[in-house]
Amino acid sequence: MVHHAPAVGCCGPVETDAPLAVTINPEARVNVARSGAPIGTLKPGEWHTLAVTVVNDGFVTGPLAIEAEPVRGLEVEPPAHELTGEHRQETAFRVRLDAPTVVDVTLTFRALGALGGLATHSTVNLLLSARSQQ
Amino acid sequence: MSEPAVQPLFASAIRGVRKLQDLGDPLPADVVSQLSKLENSSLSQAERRDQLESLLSPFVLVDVSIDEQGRALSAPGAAPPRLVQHGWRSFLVRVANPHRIEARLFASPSGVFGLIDSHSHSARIALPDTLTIVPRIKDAWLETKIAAAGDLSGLEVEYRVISLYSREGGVRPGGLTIFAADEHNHQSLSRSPLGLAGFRTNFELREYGASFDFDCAPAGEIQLDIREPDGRSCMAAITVQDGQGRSYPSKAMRLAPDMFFHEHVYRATGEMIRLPEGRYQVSAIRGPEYRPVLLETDVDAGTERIPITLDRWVDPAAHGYYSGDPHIHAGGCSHYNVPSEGVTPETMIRHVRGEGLWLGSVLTWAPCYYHQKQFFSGESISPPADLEYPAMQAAQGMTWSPRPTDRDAESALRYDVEVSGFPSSHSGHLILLGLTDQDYPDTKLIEDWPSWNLPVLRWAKEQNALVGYAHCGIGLAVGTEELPNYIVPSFQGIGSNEIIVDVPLGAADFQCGAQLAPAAELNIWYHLLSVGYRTLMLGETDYPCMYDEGPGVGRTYVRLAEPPTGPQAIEAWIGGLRESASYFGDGRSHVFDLAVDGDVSREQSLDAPGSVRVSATVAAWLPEEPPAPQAGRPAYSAPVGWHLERSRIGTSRAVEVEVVLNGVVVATQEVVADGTEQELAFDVTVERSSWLALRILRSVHTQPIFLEVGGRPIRASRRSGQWLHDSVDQLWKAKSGFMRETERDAARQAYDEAQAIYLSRLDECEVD
Repeated sequence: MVHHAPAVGCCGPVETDAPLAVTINPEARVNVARSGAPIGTLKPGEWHTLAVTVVNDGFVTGPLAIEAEPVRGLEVEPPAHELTGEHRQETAFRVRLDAPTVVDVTLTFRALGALGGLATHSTVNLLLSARSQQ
Repeated sequence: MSEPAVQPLFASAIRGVRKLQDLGDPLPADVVSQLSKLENSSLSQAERRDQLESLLSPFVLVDVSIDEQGRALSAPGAAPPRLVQHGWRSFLVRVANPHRIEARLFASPSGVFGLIDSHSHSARIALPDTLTIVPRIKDAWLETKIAAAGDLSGLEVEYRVISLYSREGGVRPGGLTIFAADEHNHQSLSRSPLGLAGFRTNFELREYGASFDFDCAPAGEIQLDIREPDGRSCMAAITVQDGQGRSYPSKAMRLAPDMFFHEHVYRATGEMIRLPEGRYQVSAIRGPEYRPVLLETDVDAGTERIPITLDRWVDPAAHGYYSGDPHIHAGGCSHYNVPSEGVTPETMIRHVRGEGLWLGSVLTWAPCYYHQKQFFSGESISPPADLEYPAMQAAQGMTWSPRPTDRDAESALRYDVEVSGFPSSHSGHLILLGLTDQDYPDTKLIEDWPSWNLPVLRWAKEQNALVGYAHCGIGLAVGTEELPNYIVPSFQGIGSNEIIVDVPLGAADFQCGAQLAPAAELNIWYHLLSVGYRTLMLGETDYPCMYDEGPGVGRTYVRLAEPPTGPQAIEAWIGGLRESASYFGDGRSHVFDLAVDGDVSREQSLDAPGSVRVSATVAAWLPEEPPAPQAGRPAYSAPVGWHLERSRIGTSRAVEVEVVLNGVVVATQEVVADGTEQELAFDVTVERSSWLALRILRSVHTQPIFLEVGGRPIRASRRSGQWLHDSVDQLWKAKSGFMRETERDAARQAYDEAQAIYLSRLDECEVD
């Protein structure tokens, strides 16, 4: 089995109950990662909130933007609150699927005043599923 | 098993195909094209699904099936298990996941334990037990990793990418096991999700791994005979790719000084790379003062060396201008597999030499501070470009020996500090050049440092350091490309922030840029200059955190009487910045000997307003035609940041040289960017004390020449003074909350002093 050394410093995993964790390193690089928390199932036509824990080592303030590659029937609403520059901040964004379906969406997180992510580190893929209530 | 939804199945497949391309193992172009057509075709979902699977099946090395317990059963797929000695090959993995388990995939060669850290892989092999590193590396010939995030989303079928490294050549039997670590349903108190997955899989009677007879193409040692046009030996950036676009050594696993985020590697004359037999494209360059040299070469059993003669198009040092990059890092970034440690001076000097830089300022910053500070000596150094951890390199079969070159002494490193990740970083990241002491007084930890910048700057200036701000434009964009503009930015980033307080108090010397949009970077500088400050601007890279192509993506050229070499190299270079001419940019265009009425002095006096003759020698080089777009892209997209390609006028080979007087363009001339040196002259009317500079926007900008008319100081723009004054208010609003209570009163006082000075200067301005 390969050795998986613990990440250090800016790149360490975030302990959170939110399904997504955004880290902003001291150089204002934005990284995003899935945590172990479930996303849950959406209801068609209804907004579903996805919690995000932000660990901000870059003192970056202003809006946290989320860009979604277009997926038919999917809407993404950005977080209502701006980054405060606090070291840890809980925020959320919303997604809505217009019909019962399963989609794969690529989300890229950006912070005004910050650099983009390195490679694809600021990008995450989510499988979103919407089911009608039985 | 229910059938997977088509959209996420395609999304996963396309990500896999893109990842293969990124790793240098692209699928054949016709397959990629068919995949793209299929994604958007009008066929039924079932037909698209079936055709997708048929299309990709020949490229799947491992078929994985995950049972309801989360155990992953691996079987050989249809892809021939062809590997290459001393290189990585990447393949698709098809994962059938009928129970829709969300888990993270890991791969392991059977029977090999604890070898290579897989978080990133640029710097070195990291093992927990240092006593056994070398024998364990030596005994292992096969290494595997799931490329990029191996998270299974829960879709019934997904595609992932696996990379395999072979240290040996020939046909060799080997095993491969995939593990699915389920973090969502993890119930064990004593084992991690991955530990549990390994426990379940390894201790079953059933064999869960897949067996292969790997056919590993042997690689031979090929010597690179790299030469300057005059025959001298040197270091250069060498990119070697085969017909499928795969880079050698493979990007997927490199040991320092070779970096996974580069296509190229840096090699000196006589050093080697290993290549299996085949046809290769080789490109060689030594920074932007050279044109890329492109070769096609066949490597066979008899090939021992590849001769390469570099193609230099401009030699600024022959004009007395010496290059430097004031912002490069040897650690801290997630580029390094142990960011807190990073790489050694021997690796950094190789990269600096390979980009033809005279000086590289290696800045220690918070994530690597406690490790990297050991390399600070208060002197410039020019070490041999030795290999890090030679025993590991040897165990890995890396037998090449570093070679000295004729030009080694022309490049030096200076370890200094970037105040980034420190308590004051909210106010902008400081670069401190030429320190004699790197620890702020009475501090033991980073956290003990001041929570705003002015005290740090004053401490550094007491050491005669040259001090200023990094990546100046971050957070200063205001939605316009107009220069100058009078919109107060939000100061919500880590660029030139507190500089507007520090400059009037005499505590900041420069800001660094040539990385972002010119308006974001230059506007604040122009305003400072227009109220009479002598603030410098430097080009930097912030390598590899911001631009990872190499050191010197942004660079600064300083005119000196002697080359900056030896232990006091940075002091000489800093002295030139303070007193002499300099310019900064991307190195693809150059401005030598900017003069007003034949005088190149930075400070000049005019008796009275009137016309002056501005002259300079300008050289720029662009390919005759704009580069062709990348495969699959409709148009060429110039690199972000500063790059002469972005200055090209239409599809011509011309670029525009502009004379800037007090921030406003007052004269222009087109020059053909054919690499020749061209003498330019402009007649400019100077009505009052002014600053004057030349620029090719997005490629080069000179420091100003300051012209004082009739002995009056430069007070060229009342609106600049007002902008600076108002920006201090916005800065306080954005930053004061991050300052310690104990320091906030002192900071407020400094902010007040700065604003008072701006009010005084704007009152003295002659024009709006």
